[in-house]
Amino acid sequence: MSQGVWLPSNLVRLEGDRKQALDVGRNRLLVAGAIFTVGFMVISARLADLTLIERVGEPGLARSGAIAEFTAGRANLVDRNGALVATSLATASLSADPGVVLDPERAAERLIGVLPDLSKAVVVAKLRSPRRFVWLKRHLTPEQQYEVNRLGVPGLDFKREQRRVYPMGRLTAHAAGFTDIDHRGIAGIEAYFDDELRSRTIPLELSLDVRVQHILHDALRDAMAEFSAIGAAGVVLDVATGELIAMVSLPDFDPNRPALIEPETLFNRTTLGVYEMGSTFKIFTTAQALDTGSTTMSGGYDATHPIRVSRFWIRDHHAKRRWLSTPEIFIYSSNIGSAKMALDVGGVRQRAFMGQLGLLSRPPLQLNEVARPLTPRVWRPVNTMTIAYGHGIAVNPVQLASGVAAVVNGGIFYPPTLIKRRAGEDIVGSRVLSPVTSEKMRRLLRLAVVQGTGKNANAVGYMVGGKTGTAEKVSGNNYRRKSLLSSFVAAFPIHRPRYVVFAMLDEAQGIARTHGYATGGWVAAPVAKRVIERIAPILRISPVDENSEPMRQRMAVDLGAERPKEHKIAAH
Amino acid sequence: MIRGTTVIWALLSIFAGVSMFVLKHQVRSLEGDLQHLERAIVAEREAIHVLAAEWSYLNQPARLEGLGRRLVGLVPVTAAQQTDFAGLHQALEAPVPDSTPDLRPTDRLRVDAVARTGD
Repeated sequence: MSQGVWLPSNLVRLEGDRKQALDVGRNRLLVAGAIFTVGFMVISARLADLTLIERVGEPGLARSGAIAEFTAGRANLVDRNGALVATSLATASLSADPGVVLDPERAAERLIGVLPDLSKAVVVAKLRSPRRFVWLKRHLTPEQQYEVNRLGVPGLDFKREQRRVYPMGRLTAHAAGFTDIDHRGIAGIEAYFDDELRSRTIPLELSLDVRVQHILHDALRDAMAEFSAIGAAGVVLDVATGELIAMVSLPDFDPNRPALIEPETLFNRTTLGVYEMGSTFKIFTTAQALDTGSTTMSGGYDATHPIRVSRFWIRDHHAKRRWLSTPEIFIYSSNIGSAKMALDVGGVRQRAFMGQLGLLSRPPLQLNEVARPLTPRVWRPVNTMTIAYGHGIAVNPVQLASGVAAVVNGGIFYPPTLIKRRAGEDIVGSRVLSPVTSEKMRRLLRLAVVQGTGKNANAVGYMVGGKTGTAEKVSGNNYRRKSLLSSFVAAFPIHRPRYVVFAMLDEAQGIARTHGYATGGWVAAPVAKRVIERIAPILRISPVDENSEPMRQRMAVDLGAERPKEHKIAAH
Repeated sequence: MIRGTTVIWALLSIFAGVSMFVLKHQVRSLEGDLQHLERAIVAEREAIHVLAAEWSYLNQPARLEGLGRRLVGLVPVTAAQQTDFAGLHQALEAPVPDSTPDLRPTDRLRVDAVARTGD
């Protein structure tokens, strides 16, 4: 620093120590002033920045984080049209801190005054327990909660809890399942998607349609009562997607009252029950025989004599005792003809085909209650013959329905599902039959309803095609003649199939109206007819004129019944 | 001069203090309103949730079917009652000779139901 250039040197002239001290003071003042100036400039700049330039400060929308959002705790289940199947409601549960309750006797007495279903001894014991927390009653109604509050008993407390409610009650019991008192899924979709439902906020859409479900439920319940059956099962399946539109197993239960459920009603016959389906398997046998070319629509087999295989005989129930054409074998449900047909196809190919139709493995359904089918360990010719007409292999009704769907829908197998497919979803299917074979099978199924064993399923106008099945139930090592498993599997409208309907009655008893018969054609086919007549308008399927000339031609099958004798084929 | 500015500053600071107090009070009361509204929204949502469950319960197909049959005589539609545009002229060409127009729709449906159960 030079010596005071801005002081008029001619006025004052200071020398020595004093001049130096003044200079030092001046310099310090200058430095301090500069620092302060810079500091204030920074502050002003920041102030201008905060107030004028940067848009921070008070948020435009005030938020208070104090109040918790309303949460249901568990996502809803809805049907394919959005009807509520399961939802969670908040309820109050009564608990107590026994340490704070002054007079357990009196408190219990007053509590029972408003909650009469509690036992006094139990309540007193709970209130005397050394613990600091006991449940007294879970899930009170709002009125009960108000009454208990009004008692003003110290030591009682309400805990807010969730309770699962099923507005459709029994209707979706086996599919939806139910939860335990702690809101955990323990059966059905509730159990399978337990974690998913807890974390999800949007409802889970099932493939079921509660209207169709109701109609199937109604028809099966009535048939079960009429024929004194011990159980019934039914399935409606969309052939183009594999979606289960309805799935009913009887007897069923009320999922709203888990405490009252009889254990045997929990059994889901549509998925957990595996049954030897009987003649409905001839659909697969015939389809494969036609597809592989081992026989044709005009071909046939000699069904004059029963076939003896080691210690038992393969016989026909409605024996014609003559050569039968392929369509005849199908519509008269000839065991002999089907067994021969399957032998010509061969066990290896039969097994592969059954596998492609998903009949040999556990179906990938979204339930825990799905059984593995019972299949022969070694596939001998005898197995091939019995499986041809549905014995020696046990599958569940959902598997059968999805297999039949693949036969009629043009030959593509779609795995069955209980979850609604999204619009435009890519559905992965696998081709199991040629479209030509599928077309032939549709004609045969129609013929079985028009002329064969399934006449009782003919819902006029809706072009029903189908096949009956009657199997004797196995008990121990023997088949019991009188305990039948009677079923019917239908596809409609058969000229352009949309849905497969399966109905089954377990141990139905013949009545006077059915002339004592309890076979599939008498007890299960009418159920399918009733279901189809009622669901078709709901599913927007318009009736057609079945007797119009184009329709007749489309469904025409040459029975070829009169066959010259030289075509007879010796028994295997 | 000095006294004048002091008075102005004093007035200004009193004004700032009072308006600050008023504003804070207003904010408090608005916050109270907000909380109240939020609680009300949660309560309403819960009520809607319960009502949705009840609506679904009341719409059980079995119940609706029973009500339909009992109160308005509705029965499931049959294939014979449906037609398409091509078949419409046939349905229209055949007038029912004994159709009595004075029947109310309910009665007509009952008659229809009776006629169907008859055959």
